Amino acid sequence: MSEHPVEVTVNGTRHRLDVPARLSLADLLREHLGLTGTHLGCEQGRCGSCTVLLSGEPVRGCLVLAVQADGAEVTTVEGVAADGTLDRVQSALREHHGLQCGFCTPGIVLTLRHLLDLPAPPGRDDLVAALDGHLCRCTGYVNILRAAESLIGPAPSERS
Amino acid sequence: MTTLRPDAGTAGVTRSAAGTRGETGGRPTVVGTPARRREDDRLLRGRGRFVADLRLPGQAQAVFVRSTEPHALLRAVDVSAARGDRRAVAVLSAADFPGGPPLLPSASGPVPGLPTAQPALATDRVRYVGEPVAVVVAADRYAAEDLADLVRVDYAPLPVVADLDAALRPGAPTLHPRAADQPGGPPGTPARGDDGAARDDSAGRGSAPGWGDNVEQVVRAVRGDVTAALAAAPLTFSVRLSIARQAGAPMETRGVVADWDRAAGRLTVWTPTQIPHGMRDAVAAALGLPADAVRVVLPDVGGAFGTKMQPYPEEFVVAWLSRLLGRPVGWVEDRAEHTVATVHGRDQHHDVEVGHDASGRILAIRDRMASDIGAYSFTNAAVEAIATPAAVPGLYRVPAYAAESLAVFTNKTPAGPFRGVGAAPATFVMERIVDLVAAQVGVDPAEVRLRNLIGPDELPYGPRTTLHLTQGSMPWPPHDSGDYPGLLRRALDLVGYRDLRREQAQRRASDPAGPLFGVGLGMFVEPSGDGKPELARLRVDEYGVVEVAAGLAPSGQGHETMLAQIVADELRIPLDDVVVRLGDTDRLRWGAGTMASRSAAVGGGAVRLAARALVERAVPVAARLLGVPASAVALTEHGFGRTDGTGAALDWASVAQAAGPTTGTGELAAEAEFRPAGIPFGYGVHVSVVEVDPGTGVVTALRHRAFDDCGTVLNPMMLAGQVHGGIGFAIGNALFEELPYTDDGFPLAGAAGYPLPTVSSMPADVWVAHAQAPAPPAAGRGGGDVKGAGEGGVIGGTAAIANAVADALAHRPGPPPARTPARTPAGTGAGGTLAFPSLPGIVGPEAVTRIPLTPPEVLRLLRAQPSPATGVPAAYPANTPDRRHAPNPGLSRG
Repeated sequence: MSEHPVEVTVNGTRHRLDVPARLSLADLLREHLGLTGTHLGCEQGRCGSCTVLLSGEPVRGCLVLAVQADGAEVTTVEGVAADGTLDRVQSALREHHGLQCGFCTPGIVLTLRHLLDLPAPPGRDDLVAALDGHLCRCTGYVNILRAAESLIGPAPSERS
Repeated sequence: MTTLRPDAGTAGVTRSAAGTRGETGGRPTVVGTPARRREDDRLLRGRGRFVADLRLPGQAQAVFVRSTEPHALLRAVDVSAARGDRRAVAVLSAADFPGGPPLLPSASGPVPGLPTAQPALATDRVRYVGEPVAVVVAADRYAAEDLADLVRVDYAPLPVVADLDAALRPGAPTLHPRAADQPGGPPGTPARGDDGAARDDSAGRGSAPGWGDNVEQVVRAVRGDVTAALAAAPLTFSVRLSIARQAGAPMETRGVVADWDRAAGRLTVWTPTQIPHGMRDAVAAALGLPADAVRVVLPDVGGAFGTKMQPYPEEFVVAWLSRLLGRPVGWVEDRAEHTVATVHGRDQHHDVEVGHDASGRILAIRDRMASDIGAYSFTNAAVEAIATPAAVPGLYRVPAYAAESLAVFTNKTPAGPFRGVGAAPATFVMERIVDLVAAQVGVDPAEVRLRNLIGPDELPYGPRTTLHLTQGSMPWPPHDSGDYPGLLRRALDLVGYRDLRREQAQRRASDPAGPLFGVGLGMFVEPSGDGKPELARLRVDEYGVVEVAAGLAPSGQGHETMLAQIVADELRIPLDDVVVRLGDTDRLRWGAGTMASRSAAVGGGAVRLAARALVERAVPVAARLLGVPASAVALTEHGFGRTDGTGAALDWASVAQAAGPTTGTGELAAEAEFRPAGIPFGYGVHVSVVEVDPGTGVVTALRHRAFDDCGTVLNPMMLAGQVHGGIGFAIGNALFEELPYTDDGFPLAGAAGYPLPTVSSMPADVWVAHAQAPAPPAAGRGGGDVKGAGEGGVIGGTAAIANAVADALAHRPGPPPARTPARTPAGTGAGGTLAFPSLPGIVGPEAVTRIPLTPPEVLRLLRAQPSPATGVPAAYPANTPDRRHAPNPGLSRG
């Protein structure tokens, strides 16, 4: 199987590799770079667990080929708290108990990270629309949404 | 009943004591506080270690070749092309196992000698799409998948048994022909002979299936004389209630890494399982090894929900491969495989006869149920068939009850447990019955519940039901403690039930063409554990760090945090001084695992007892150091000190050092087993408010309220998380989750995916609260009144949502459906003190009788014509013939 050179910057570190054309970006990260925080839940683009940022945009790592990331910057969950302390998305999920098994969590962290970095602040509908792209079987989404809402300004009407 | 405490399940919402450090007897505790989870940091940073993340040096990857046929003879499995590829590390079919591949165990007690167990790789016949036929090993998964395509399987298709009705039809093809018909006979020869007639239906005990049909086993539950009670009941009706085939569907699929250590003669298996010790024993047996030659280690587990509660063929085969090849071998299930290779659940029919009186008091229920267990006596295949029958009456009196439950083979993926096993389908059935009774007699469903609920003064209730299994008979454990009507009354107050009914009437009057508005109740009991004991071991090192081992195997619930809270309180130490290590069979002799809402109630109890034993071991050591008698030593948050308060206190590190192996009497450690005296029953009520679009049939869940009593709350934040997650399951189970198969046995979900709820499927408004009724003395409960709460959300929630949809449909525009004239004024029945207005109810074929309530199903119900009222016969025909094979006409008046 022919291999193709790929140069990709992941979480600020540049890598040059030769990879098969059919290698997915998720498998590049997991198998070749050892970044196993990007989880594969369905490999069909449905569950969102493998979401990473490709040149700042959220993508399904399972639906992007590694060769398509040539020349791009990739952010994975391992790159979110690069300075050691939890990022505010991560902290909000922890404070609001927005994760249980944690398998879907890395993708959700990156999706929310991306939303918060947009020039226009997201509203609640934006949060729901973005989180609709992520499957979670543990939380019923209740606390994921509460964590997300806590990040976009004044707390919503108090519920318990 | 103490007050209902709106739960502060999340950060920043601390309206109750739950948000602050608790106080017990004047001392601060961490039990009862929303301690943040110690699991979260690694998971949030992507540092969790799941089985798919493991890469041992030299690890090869396995891929399974699976049956593409639902039912066929295996003419040939040709692995030569795959084996000939230079990338192949190994390619095996059943023929490569000396003496045949290991059989999967069965815990469900089918007939001895009946060859219905699944071989780890198919031998001469396949019985479901997805059954493993061969395995291919290569250096990586990409290569292994290439090679799997080279394996050629020659199938000779057999007639397919695609569902319960087909399986039970006289003359149906059999999945497991009796020995006399082997080998093969002409394919598809009906192998019946003794038929169901061989079963003695009057014997009242679980009976063996004949070998000539598709019934794996029959389970019965009996309370009182149901035939006489039905005959004497003033009003009766019958209905078929059904639950579709559904699944636990964790976000992490299954997987395994096995590493055979040739030098030690030992196998290490990393796998996400709920039963590490059970897995150890099963893998050891499959490989012919002593149990102590196998070590099972639990990685982080990405959800389990019952699907990871049994060994599967892949663990046996991968372990076998590692020993054969002398190198580590891994396998990770992909999602398409998961829908056909991991156990399914539910898939039941209930043909129910109900006798009641004109006030809505339920006098008798007979339930003839059948569960589709798939193709084999897989480990827990019959668990839904076994766990459902005794659970149907739930928290209602139901003086006479009888159930006959058939576990039935079909050409589908084997069944097994998933969240709410037995209890969720039983509760759906019972809660629908209660609402149908309410509709029959024209009394509000809440009022009918109050007339039928077991009162607090009647607890403990039972044992009243006898469960007859193939292994023998046993009493169904009594409900222990609680206040069922008290909780319902408080819940009705808190949700503003009266206002909801008013809103419903107003909407119907003001916007008859608009969305249909419905309110539904779902009441449930949740048995905590299954009576199995649990083991825990605590050890203190010379730095004062306490290490906790227990037989539990978490999959996201937060066991590490929960157990640390218990230990911190018992030992009076900071949370950070507790290290919890679970899921390593080398650390603990045995353990039962995590299932059946048992971890907090039973596992937490074992840890609590072990902590108390540890204190008992430490006190004499401290006494020696302090120079006082043991009776003069007190443990406080400062450590071990003199009861008179004089002098300095010793911390745990000092005591551990003094007890240490070189300086003292030995390691400071303690082990305790907790064997619950009975089964604590949590209970609760869910209230669901929905809207149904009459044009599209789409159901929108607007609000969901959950109230439960699970005894002492260990961590309100995590408890609310469990309930939320259960409500998520309930939304999916009630409204759209289904694993459909074609009429000829091919699964449709593999391609289309299994439909799971997303954030926008959830009600925008979810609210959870807890109450705690006084419990009997804590004896036998590990010192804590803790009841399970992991499954109540799906158990009560599913029923509440289904009833809400039914209620919405009953409030469709047009004249109310005709109803039996038999009514009593509200408030005259036992416990009937709430005078709710009478409601229209639907009792005909247009009633909700099946979940999920998908848009097509809802449209079908909306278009059904209300049935005309008929007279209600005074008595139900006694001794109705066995209707096992008869099609059910749906709800009809008896």
